Amino acid sequence: MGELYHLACQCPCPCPCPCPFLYFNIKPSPPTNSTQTGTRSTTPNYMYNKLIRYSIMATTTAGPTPGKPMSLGQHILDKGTEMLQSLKPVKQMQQHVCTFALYSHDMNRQIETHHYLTRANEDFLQCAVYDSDTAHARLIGIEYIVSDRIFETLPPEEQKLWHSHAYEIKAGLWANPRVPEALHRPQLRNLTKSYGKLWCSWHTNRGDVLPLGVPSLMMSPQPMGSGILNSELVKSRDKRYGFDSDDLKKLRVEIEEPEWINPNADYWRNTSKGFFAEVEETQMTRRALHP
Amino acid sequence: MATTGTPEAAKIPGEPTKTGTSLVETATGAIQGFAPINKIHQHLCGEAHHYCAHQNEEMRQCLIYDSQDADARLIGIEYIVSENLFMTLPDSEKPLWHSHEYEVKSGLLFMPGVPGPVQRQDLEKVAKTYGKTFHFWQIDKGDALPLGVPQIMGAFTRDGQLYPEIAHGLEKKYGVSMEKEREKREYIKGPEHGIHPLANGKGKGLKLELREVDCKQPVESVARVFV
Repeated sequence: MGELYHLACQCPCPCPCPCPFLYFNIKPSPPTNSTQTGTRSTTPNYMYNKLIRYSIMATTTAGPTPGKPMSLGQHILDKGTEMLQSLKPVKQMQQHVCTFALYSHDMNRQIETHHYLTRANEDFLQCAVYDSDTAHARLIGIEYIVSDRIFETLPPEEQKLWHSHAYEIKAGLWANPRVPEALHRPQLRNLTKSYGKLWCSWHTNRGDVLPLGVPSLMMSPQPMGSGILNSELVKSRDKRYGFDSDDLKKLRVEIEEPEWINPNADYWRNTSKGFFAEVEETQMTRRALHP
Repeated sequence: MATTGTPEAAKIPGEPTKTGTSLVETATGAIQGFAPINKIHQHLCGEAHHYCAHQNEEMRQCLIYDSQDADARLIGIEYIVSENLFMTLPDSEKPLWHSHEYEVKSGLLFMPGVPGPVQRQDLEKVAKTYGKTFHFWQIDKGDALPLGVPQIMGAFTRDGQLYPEIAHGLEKKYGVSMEKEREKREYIKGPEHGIHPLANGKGKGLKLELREVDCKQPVESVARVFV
């Protein structure tokens, strides 16, 4: 972790000048091999603490994103646009869920995911998915979540692309960090019956420091066969957050298993097949589609 | 920045959010941390609405919504890299990325609510960048739900590609004049080495096809078979 400094006056923190601005940044330290950046500095500094208090860095196999560190001008520009613009859609995100996902075509590849959820209605959620919960988090995909009511209306070909959530929740893998279990119990009860469709568009898991290739369809952890999660992955997450998935599992015993999970979901379970997206050249649409 | 057609997709099916649900979510919203989201600082509008955060000076990651309202649908992702980073990509990767020079210079891209001179300061940089966009929800086809396979999106690269009625719609909605902006952005330069010939799908359209494959067994569970 680099040194913290004020953006406005460029003073290192703690700031010796009476600088009234609270914009600060971390001067990047020379690149190291370690990808862990969430370690606490030995110099106590309240702003530094403020910065990392909510930043429990997830382990990710990709190194830091290449590119020059942010320039002062860009920081100021960003702050300016942020103040002037309303950013309404992103301000609707009301939940942070930490869970896991497996690549549909190669279920050995398993990742920890951080979902930031926006609810459209009682039956539909949309999530921006990141590889960690820090300010440096990489945006790795999008998940859509629908209730069983909606799922049953989808054509079977579409249902194959979705995964169930019951096991993930019941096993305590699906966690809302810092949220008391009792508070969101009713919601978890509903979500056990839901289905998700997750596309991962940045494969940090294979070490990509930039988003290469095309999105992959992801599946949810399951208690059998290819769906079994690597226990180390779970332990490392639990340790970072200071909870135990097994404890969550016990707390969730009373949540009923759904009576019916549509067999078209979790397609691999019955077929041992996954999906893999490939690029094909096509006739270019020369103009934007318009009715 | 790829844009989509305007047709209003059907409303998302489902019951209105129950009071209990929204109360719990107001609480989780207050208790939980949203560090990655708080990094989002910019609303860039072509026709789709991009909400962007910097990874560093040379890379941005954007969430794409279909509107700028609270009930906007999250339809895609765009990654934006500097020319420098683009040049480091393998040649097989380059066709998936599109140039931004035309969309900036034509006045098509803008930042709602931000004064022109401030906008142009950032757009000078954007004009030199390349982007890679995936849409996961084809609202332009009228899909009320996110169906099927992701689409890889191109960008407008020359005059005549955008329907004039879409352009007029945008101008009216945001009170901007693309023609005037175009003149003011005359001085802005694209990538230093020119638009790379492999970018923009090498001039061809691209689409994603989903192939069914045997899934590989996890090492752990394969081992278990032999225990």
